[in-house]
Amino acid sequence: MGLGLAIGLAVAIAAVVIFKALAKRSALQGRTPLRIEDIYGSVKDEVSFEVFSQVWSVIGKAYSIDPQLLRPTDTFLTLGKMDSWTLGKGEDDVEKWLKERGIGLPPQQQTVIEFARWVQSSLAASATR
Amino acid sequence: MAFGGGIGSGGGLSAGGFGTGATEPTETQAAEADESYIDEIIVTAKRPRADGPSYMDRYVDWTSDHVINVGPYVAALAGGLWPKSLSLATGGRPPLLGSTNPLTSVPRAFGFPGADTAIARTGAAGIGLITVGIGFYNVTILLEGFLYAIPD
Repeated sequence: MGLGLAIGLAVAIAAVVIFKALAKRSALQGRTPLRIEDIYGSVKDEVSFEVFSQVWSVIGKAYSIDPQLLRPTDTFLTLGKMDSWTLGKGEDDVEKWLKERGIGLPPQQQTVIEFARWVQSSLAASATR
Repeated sequence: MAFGGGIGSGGGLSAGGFGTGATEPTETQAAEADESYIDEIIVTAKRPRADGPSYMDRYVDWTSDHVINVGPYVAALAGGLWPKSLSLATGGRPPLLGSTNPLTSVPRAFGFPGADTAIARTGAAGIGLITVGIGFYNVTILLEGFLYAIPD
């Protein structure tokens, strides 16, 4: 029984890794890496480049995605599907980063650019305090 | 047995005879007769028959042979999944941003060191997955048992 369960657990862990990879592949299918500056070009009126590059870097690291593959309209629902296979590692890492920056927990956000805008306004609000 | 003669033995209901013109059974007697009938059915299902085990015996035997009984390995659940809303280490905070995943790992929920590592998270997700798998398998066996227990 012990050996059978150990094999079952190994298969389950392998399945978790494979399904996470498939979810990631499905979400990023057909994308080519773009320079961060080029991605920023489409949203330069909404956030500063400093905040933009920080947010891109943090989300890329937290969700284990190349930031050059991340797009402003990417939703956290899609990222969350990948992240659920590691039980919310991405959102936990983002929470940790926000705490380090002295920002509270974010409200529910639809897209990555909405989150970047919220970070910028929160940083501005904390600077004026 | 208290209901000794049973329904078909000539004792019980037919002894007094519902249609014999003797006395009509009272409500109490009728209720007792119903109870006896139900008891007889239950005992018949449990009692080994002369030609082999009863339906219940066959069901229990078959399901016991086929369910996955994890025994002491159930302790692995301590490394499995836990609802975020009951997580002590994170204050029960709900999923962040646009995530809809309500689960975290048990080690993270209780703030154990190293719970944030990818290995611990993937292991917990694996334990969760195998738990659900074994659960579904066992439920299937319990249901299938009703069919397999039917005598040939």
